[in-house]
Amino acid sequence: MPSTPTNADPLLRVRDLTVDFRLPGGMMRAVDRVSFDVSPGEIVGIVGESGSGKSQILFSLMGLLARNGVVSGSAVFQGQDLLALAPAALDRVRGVTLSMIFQDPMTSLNPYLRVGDQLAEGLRVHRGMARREAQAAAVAMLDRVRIPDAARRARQYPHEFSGGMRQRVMIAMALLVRPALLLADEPTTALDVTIQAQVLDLISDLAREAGTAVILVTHDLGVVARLCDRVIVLYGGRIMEAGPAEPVFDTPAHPYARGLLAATPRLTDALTPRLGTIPGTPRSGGAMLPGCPFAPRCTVRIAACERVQPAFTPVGPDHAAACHLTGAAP
Amino acid sequence: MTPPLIEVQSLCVGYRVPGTGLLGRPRILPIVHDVSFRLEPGRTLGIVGESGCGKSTLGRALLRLNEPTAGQVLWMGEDMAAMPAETLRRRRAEFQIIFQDPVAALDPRMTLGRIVSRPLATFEPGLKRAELRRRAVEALALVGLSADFADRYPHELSGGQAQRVGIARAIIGRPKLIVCDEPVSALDVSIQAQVVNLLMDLQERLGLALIFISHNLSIVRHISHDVMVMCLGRVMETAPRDAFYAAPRHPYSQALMQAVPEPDPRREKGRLGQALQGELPSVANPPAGCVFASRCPRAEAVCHSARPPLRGDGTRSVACHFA
Repeated sequence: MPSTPTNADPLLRVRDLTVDFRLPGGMMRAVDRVSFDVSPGEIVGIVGESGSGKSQILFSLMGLLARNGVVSGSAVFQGQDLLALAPAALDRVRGVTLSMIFQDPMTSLNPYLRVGDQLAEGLRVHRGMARREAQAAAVAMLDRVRIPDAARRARQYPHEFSGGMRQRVMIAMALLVRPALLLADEPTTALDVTIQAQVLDLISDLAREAGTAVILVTHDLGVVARLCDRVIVLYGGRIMEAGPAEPVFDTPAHPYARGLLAATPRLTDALTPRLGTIPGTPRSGGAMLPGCPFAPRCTVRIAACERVQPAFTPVGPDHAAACHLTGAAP
Repeated sequence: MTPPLIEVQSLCVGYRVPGTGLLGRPRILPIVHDVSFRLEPGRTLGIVGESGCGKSTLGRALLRLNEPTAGQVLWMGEDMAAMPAETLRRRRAEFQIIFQDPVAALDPRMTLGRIVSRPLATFEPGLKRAELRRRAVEALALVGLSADFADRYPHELSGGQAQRVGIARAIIGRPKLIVCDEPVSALDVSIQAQVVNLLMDLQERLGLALIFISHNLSIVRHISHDVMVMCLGRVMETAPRDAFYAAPRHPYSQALMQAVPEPDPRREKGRLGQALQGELPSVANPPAGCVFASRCPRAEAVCHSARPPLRGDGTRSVACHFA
């Protein structure tokens, strides 16, 4: 069953998304039958540690999987299955209604083109604007994302911008194109907290003003709390828990979600002698376990956890967890 | 009265940069300005700040991995600059460092046993192989790694395990101080907590003092006894941990606390749209006044023209015209 109830009319409907990598030693499963919906204008956070498969979900939607990657399942976006689209058809979607930003903005900026020209290019190609009109719109948008002295900055190259400014340029690009869905892969991880706060504000503005839906992939529960309407907790390629942000943070149902929250201290928490931890290390590669991928690290596991994959069990409105103990004693 | 473990007096650190223009002479670009503090044995000083604030440069200068341009570092009352090279070399057993990228800090061609015991070749030359191994296994056990890790190689480690090995190497010479330079920022959330707890355990067991350099205010709160906030190479505020977190006095400290996203959706949604505006000044071209003035919501004319001195009462100091 999908982790979230069926939406009347989701913008994106992902079902049983599975990503395998062909490796010299055999197949490695990175994402295992992941299902979720994204509504128009909604900000969904996918949170997980390294090896959880969180970035691979975005890469597979964007058609950017490494060449040894094999994807199955479906991802219906505005009536088209992204996973089944031919490259040319995918190109017509990418950059127009589907955009992606990365942890390192230099990945997506052309170092040889002036920033203003790069911003204007999208408008000229996809909207057919004249050069001067597109340039003016680009400068106005740089000003909108609070790049100081925007007209002069538009004539500069990406290397002349700080990391925070580059990420704001990427968001300016998204604001210009107004995609229906923005995929954001750790967009603020490389930034200082005060700059991160600016970028998170801009992503929120983008969702509100342009009606853009966002899938935000991050390891930072604080970033999810600030920005996301809904959260999906991923571990070992599978969804452990999913639901609206408040109930997931207030009453996490899965032991992994509880462990992650305990390991993330808040400034307002009473101090404890030691931080809460999850024993062991995150799963990295290897064969899929028959049971719950978190079982080897779980402090409350029972015999069934190692053998049987737990089903998604509702724990509240639109809130579900995949744990054998869900519904049992709290 | 015994002197503190380490006492830093008006320390300045800079890097030599090429001059500008054809005839420009190389000059010193100042990075850290006029930093003073004392640290007692077994205590932790947290140093907080954003990138470019000079916190890592300061940490390295304390261990004389960078040369200070002015000021003094006294190690148990002794001026480190005046120490003969041989004395300094042997004393290095007493102050160690661990780094942000734990894997890059380990030589990929050496077994972990050799990596961990390597400092002993300098500090206690002449130890037999069997003794080196015994000490390495003992240090690995202290950081929670079993003896068989001594025969493994760095590429077999996860990030958290690699940081444990870095800590084992730091403690093998029985140091009194470890400078921890962003030791958990590269690690997964669940592993960060493990490493922080390990450092706190080792502090208790071995009586270590720690200088914990981090941009993560929540983790600094957890591990530190005292906190120092830096911005663009200057100390903005120093305070005992509880006093600082109960009521940070510098507007920059307050802004940092506001900016940190916490796992609390109700509180966080109210913080959207509150981000500081304005740009960071550049290190190469610092402002005449307060380094935070360009972004400070409370800045007045004086903040742009005059740099506020660090003023305080001995336990708590703030560098702000209005604090």
